[in-house]
Amino acid sequence: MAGDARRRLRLARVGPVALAAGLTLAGAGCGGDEMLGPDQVVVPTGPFDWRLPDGFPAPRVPEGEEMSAEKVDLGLHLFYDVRLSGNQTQSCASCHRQELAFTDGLPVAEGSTGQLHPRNSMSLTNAGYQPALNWANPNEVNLAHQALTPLFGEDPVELGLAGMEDQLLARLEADSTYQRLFAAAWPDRGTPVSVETITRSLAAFQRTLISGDSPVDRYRRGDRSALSESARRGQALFFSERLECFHCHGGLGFTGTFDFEGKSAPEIEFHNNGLYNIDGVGGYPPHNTGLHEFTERPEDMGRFKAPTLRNIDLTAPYMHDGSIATLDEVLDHYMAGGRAIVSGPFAGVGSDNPNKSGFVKPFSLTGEERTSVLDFLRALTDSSFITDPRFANPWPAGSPAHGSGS
Amino acid sequence: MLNIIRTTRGVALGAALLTVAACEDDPVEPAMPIEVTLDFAAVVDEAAFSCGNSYDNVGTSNTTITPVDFRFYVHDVELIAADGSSVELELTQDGTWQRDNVVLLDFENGSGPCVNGTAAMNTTVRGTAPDATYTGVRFTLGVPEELNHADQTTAAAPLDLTSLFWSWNGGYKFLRIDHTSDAQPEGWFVHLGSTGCTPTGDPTVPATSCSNEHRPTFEFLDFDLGIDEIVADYGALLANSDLAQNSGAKGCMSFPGDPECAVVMNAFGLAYEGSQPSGQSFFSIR
Repeated sequence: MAGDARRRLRLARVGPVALAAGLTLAGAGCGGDEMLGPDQVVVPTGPFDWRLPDGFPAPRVPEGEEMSAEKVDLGLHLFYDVRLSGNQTQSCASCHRQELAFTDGLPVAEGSTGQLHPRNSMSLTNAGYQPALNWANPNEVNLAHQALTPLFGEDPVELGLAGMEDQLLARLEADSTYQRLFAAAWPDRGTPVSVETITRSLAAFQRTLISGDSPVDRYRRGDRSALSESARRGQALFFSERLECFHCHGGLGFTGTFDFEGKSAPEIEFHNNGLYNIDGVGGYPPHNTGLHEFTERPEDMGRFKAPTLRNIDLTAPYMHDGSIATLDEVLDHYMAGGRAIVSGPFAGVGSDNPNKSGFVKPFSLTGEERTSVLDFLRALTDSSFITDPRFANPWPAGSPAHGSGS
Repeated sequence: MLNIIRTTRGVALGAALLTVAACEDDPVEPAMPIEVTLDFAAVVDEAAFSCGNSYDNVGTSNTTITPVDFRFYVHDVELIAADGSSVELELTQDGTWQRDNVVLLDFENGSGPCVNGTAAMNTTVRGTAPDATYTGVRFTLGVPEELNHADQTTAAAPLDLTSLFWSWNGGYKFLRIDHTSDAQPEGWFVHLGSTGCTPTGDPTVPATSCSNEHRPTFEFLDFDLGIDEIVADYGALLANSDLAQNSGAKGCMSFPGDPECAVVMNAFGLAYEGSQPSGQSFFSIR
């Protein structure tokens, strides 16, 4: 599938650059192609350049989808544009900030109308490798489909565009930058600006958010100086049967929910980690019951995706509801084999949750070991990922993409 | 007034009968089909629904409500002859409201508090049927299963309205009637749709089946095609609801475990978490 796409030739709109390229190509071996009119030139599209870190396979691209630099560029512009919210105050980037590995630093996300989301903003680190995208929604397996929920969802309101699709399209069609970007990304569409092309372009951009250049990665590639002695001890503890971290946060993605091109099958895992046990029979707070919300199976109460630990030091606070403030306290949670809440409406002993994963069990650490584990987790921070200009806001100052506040 | 929940067997039988009828050798030229228009109306108790109007004495706390939306899909519209036989109304494919076997009925015009709405309205179902005398009508509320889980970004009208997308739940809102009141100023919403939706088999494919379909079928056997209209009554739907109260999701959004849902779902003629309907009260004929 991908191979066919790579071999395919595409007709490009003519412009000074394309024309020059076309002439060069014609001279190089395409001369005499009389099928081409004067205003059409053939530009071969090579395989999409993922710029993969060493040892990284490519993300698996859904069938029928084709990556291109033009779609990614369009998706980048859309991602940072507040015109993608009903009241033009928020963009995707409002809750997914590059410097925080595309999270927002808040316990739970706040939408464009001020409504709080029940859940913590998901990191977009390696989003294209995630076969289940949300904390606990088995139906969100495709980035383009997932984009519909922040754009148009009403419970809660995120970007708040429900019923405003005509206004959204009109806003974008009126912008000369988008006229150029949509035409370049979707050249075969008579009407290139649509909900479909918006969501598919956003997905294309998100697939490029690849993080694989942390000290841990560099150490694995042979740079022995990349990890401190302490972090190396922490790595050994992380991958030990004593701590069991790696069972749910293992593999290339540091999550059990991972996929890539060529993998035999996507893996999707949801786990209960003993955060709550309200009624002693496994209860979780309303609006945050996990996989159970969809399957309605009692044993799925409190089962959530184990998120990637890449860039985890940047994505505080933690857990699906942001209810643990620091990595240090996350270690406390797992050392206790679950969280005990002594009073209030959510009181209960999480370590006794009947649905809890068997890998969440108490363990002890010396002070030095604890420091080592934290040093290892912090060595999963990829500083090039959070400073890469390819992922930064592309809009110039004063652009309407920033909204009226700037 | 009858409210029949359709079974899979019922659908298959109906299709088989139609197939037989179509394949029989009939030397007689078939009669020209007749054009049929079914009129629908939206009311809150006795008063016609209109964006911007308020309605007194709704629900058990006699709440004054201001509706902000009133839309629903119906499908599998059938006409019933006096002998009990039925034919499918073949919908006019108008490119806007009617597609395949599904129709969007839209009583809001986007004005006033109906902020998520559209200016255009549709209050009829239009189609053709074999020339005969019909004395009854049957239809199912909702988007049919075969259209409910397709790609919404490429769906044609009337399945292209983002305010009826329910993407995270893997389908559409079949019905939305929303209102605000002084008691519940942030809103009290009735959203009907399938819940308990999960992928089956291939984990990379979005929802394909739902444990709670929530597609009630309505049947009226004493219906005068030229005169009667089918009335959707939000006041009757909420007659047993206390609109001053809310817990869980705002109003009833079809999900399990919502204290407000039992009487609402029962009023659609649907069972809900052990609560059984005694018939539906939402649709009537006048």
